[in-house]
Amino acid sequence: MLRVDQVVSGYGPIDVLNHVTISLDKGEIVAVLGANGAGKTTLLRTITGLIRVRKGSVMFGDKALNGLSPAEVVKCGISHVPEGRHIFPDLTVEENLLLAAYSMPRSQQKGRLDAMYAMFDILAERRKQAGGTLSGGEQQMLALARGLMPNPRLMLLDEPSLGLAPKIIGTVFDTLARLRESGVSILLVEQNAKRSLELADRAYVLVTGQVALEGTARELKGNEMVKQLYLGGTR
Amino acid sequence: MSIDIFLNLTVRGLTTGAIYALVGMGIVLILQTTNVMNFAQGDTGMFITYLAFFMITTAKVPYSLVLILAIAAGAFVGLLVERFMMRSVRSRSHLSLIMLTLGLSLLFQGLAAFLFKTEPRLFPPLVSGDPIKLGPIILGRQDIVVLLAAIVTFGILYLFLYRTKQGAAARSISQDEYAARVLGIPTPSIYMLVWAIGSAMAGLAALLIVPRFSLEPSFMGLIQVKAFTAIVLGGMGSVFGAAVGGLIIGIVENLVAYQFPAIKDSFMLIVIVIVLLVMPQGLFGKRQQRRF
Repeated sequence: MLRVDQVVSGYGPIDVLNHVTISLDKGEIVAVLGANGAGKTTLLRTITGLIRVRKGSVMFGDKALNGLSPAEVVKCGISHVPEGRHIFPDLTVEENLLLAAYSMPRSQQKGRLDAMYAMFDILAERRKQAGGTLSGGEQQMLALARGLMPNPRLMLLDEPSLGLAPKIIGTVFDTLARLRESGVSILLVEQNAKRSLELADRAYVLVTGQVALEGTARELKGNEMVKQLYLGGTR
Repeated sequence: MSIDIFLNLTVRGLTTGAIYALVGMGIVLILQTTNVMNFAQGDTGMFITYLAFFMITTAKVPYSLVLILAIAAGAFVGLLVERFMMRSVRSRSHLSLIMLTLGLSLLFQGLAAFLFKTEPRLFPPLVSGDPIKLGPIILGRQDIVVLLAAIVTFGILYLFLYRTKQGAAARSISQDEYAARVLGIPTPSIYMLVWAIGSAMAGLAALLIVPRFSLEPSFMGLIQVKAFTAIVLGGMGSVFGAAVGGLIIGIVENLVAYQFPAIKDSFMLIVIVIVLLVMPQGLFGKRQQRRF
């Protein structure tokens, strides 16, 4: 469904991604692991059109995403939940959600909004509250709900567990598992390699802008290098 | 000062203040959404007013139509400025964006002087007729029009910001532009819309105030300074604050002018300095809201 082929992209004079090739099939959860600065966030930004593709191609189904604006990429059915949540602090929960479905006709927005409130009780309770008054965990739920609002076929999640208490991290991953049931594909960037490998079907390991390893989540969990670097050393 | 004089000065100050508020709200709207301080706000209005002047005197277009055409022309100028000046520089440097608006201000002044000459022209009053007496208060019809226009504009701006999705998008960009782009909000078209609305407000404000002065390329200069004072007083960050700031400045200025005519204009600069020193966040601003 998603095919990133030999992509080069970056900021200013620097190429962060160096010929990265990854793919994702319908219904899959694919994790991207890697140290800080390996290019995980850059990969997501490149897919979403926040950063230009310098070489290579990004295909979604049979549509080329190269050169599309973020707004157009969202219309294609891809949503991006950025690292650090980026909730609009002075807008209400409801406004935060509605803006995530900006290009959707009003009649459909209402249905999506109800679906989000059904899925996240806490957001229904807080719908008129300013986003900035929510707790970190609630904000992450709101960020996920914003990602779901446009009814995407593919969600790009950047560090959804970052900065959250362990108990809330559990809730976040439970939610991701529920999303899989609903048929949304997920490309997941995570520092929490253990949890993401438990959830994901397949994974890639990025090292300095290149795919160093790829395989099923089970294979990677057993891989010595992954164990050393991301799963907290050898047994 | 008798109570009657005080009331009259206050109400008349209110109408001047309404103009400062209109100019100031336009500046804050653009500043908050696009993060650019538009130093050309006043002169955009001045240029539009020249167009309106020739529509009235040469083309004999009726006044009510001129008002609508002037607002439309302002919006169009705003669109052009965003699309062909701001957008291409936006990705490069923030400072150059601000310098660009200063340049734009000079461009409008130069263009007006070149095309329409610099000698002052008398702008025909918007409405004619005797002043209206409300108890002890005597109010010119022109002043009433100004007040009504300001109230209606404020209402429309409020509805735009809080009842439309474009308005919500503008507010979201002012809080977190990156997040707005990630969510797929078409930020370029929102910028363009906001520039159009802001510049239309500039045209309206200039057209409403010009009968009190004479039309010349520099007539909006001082008004823009007062509008900046209003923004600083209101706290930079809020359109509502700019409106209240403008009204306060208008009233205070009129009272000061009555007692000490000589310091009328310099008084406002003193206010800017004092506000910035004593309460830099203004009346309604948030403390320290840094975007750059």
